[in-house]
Amino acid sequence: MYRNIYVESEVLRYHRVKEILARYTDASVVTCDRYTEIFNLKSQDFRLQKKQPALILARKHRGYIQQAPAGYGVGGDHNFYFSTMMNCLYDCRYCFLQGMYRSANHVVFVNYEDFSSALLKTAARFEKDEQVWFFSGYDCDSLALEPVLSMADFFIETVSSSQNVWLELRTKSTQIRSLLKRTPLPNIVTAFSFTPTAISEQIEHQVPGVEKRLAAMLRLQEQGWSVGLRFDPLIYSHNFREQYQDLFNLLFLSLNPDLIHSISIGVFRLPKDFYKQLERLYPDDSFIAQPFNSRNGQVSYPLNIELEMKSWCYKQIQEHIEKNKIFFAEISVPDSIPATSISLKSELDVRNVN
Amino acid sequence: MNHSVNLIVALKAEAQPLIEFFELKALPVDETISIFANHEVTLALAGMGKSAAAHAVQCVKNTNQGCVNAWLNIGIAGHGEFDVGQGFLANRIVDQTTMKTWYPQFVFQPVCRTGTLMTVDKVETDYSDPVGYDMEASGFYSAAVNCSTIELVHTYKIVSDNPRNSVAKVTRSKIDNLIKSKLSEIRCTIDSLKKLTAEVATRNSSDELLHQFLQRWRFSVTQQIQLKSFLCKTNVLKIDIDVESNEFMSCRNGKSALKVVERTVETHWRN
Repeated sequence: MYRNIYVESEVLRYHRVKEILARYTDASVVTCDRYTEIFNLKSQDFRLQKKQPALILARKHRGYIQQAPAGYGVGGDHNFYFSTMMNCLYDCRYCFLQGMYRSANHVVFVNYEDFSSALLKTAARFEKDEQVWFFSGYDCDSLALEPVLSMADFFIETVSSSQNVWLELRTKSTQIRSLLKRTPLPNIVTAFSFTPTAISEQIEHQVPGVEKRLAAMLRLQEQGWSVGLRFDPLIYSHNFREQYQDLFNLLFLSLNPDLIHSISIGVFRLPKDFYKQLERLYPDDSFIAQPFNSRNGQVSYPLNIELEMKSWCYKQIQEHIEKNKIFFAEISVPDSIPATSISLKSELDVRNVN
Repeated sequence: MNHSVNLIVALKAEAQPLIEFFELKALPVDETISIFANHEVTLALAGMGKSAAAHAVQCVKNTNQGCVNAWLNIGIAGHGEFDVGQGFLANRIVDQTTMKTWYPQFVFQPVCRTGTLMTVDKVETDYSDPVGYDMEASGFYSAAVNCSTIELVHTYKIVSDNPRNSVAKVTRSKIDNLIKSKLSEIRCTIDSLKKLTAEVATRNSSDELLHQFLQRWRFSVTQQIQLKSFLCKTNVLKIDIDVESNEFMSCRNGKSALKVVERTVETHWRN
């Protein structure tokens, strides 16, 4: 799949790099000193690069584990995230990565061992009875490149003997083989993101279909793995109730609710600067062209739509699943809240701290 | 928006086969170098060396103002490994003097080999590394990436000399033959770049409607950006905007016209 691969000379000797390169014998391999020489340049076009992204194999030197942003948790006491990869195989029009990075090339930090050490060191700071969560899939899809990178396999092993260390693998992929070959672990949650089929087909380019993702979830559950559902971002359309009702029915009537660890809900939102970048990249895209509102540095749907979608989806989901498994992603707080929305907002805020 | 693929060529012997093949006509431009063009390709005869190549990029940029430009440096090169006659696109350009390195980005499938190109100040005769050697690429590339996004800037070289074939034997007619032998590779590379520039140009196009607004009302620079953004949205969302309608007739300035456009988009979307 990759035609151009850049490799930092420092990692050329890594066994993991040799294994990855062996999969792409036809690719042009170029060595470089630091991945930033390619990835961080100013005059790049994310949209053009998305046509044929290059793979960049690099070493991360610091900052392996990051504090998770507010609202990213699913019930743990402490939340962190880590990214062994920057950018994603898929091309979802709402994705913040398009606004965050100048390049669409895929950077993989191959020194997993350094991440692993930092992860365990971070977890060791906390009491054994505290749940410490590590989220993978913030800057990439955790499983989409698993057959090539074996990243999930490595980090499952890292946390396998820790009772209070939890790992979330967030994905839209169906690449679950590295999990299926293992005995299920209670502290691993594979969390699948969903939008309704019609929306997914329109704006989640190259993403496996809803039914294929559901089939992957069912296989994991059959083997005893916990799964998560992520309805984040919720995408508005005039008939969003029908579309999400169909999606919820499909998922909740198929999945075993006992093996659903958590569900999170969050309406589409982007930092304003990221959205401006998307407007520049995709002025011809009907999703980006919607007249979103801007408040507190974030671009999202008008507040009444945001609140309506959240509350409606929450009510629907809680008919299928216990309330304590449902979590809200960060709520945008407007400068002035319409009076009719205040009570609903208060309710959502309470739910957010659950 | 117009778009062009700009060829920067050092030697007349390299340029002539390209001028003939693409049927380029000399442009009567007030520049210090010769520029030739047709409706899709511009060629600048730069002269030898990094500075000359960088200067040529600037001259063509001045000529093609408001255009989406792709840039291709074409010429002959020595090589420590490749056979004479081999064409290649640079995937790494190193300036031997400064050791500064650039990595051209391929978002199209190259029709030829790719490899490292070292830009030297004096003709290379040792061929100490298995790389290409030229005298323009680093100057060209550093100038061109300031004018376009990097995916649209490339360097194509044809090997004229190597450890087994001395540079001293490279003649004008040999250069002519080398370029002619690779015209189809050059054509394919230009076509790939043309597709990309066309895509970017379409993305950045402004339409007739914008001009109607700009003729009728005065807008500040910020308002013009907002107006362009809103008109783009009306186009994508298929909303009809008629500047002759009653709503716009009552607008006394750009600000109020902008408000009407904004309101129209929001109303359409919510309904």
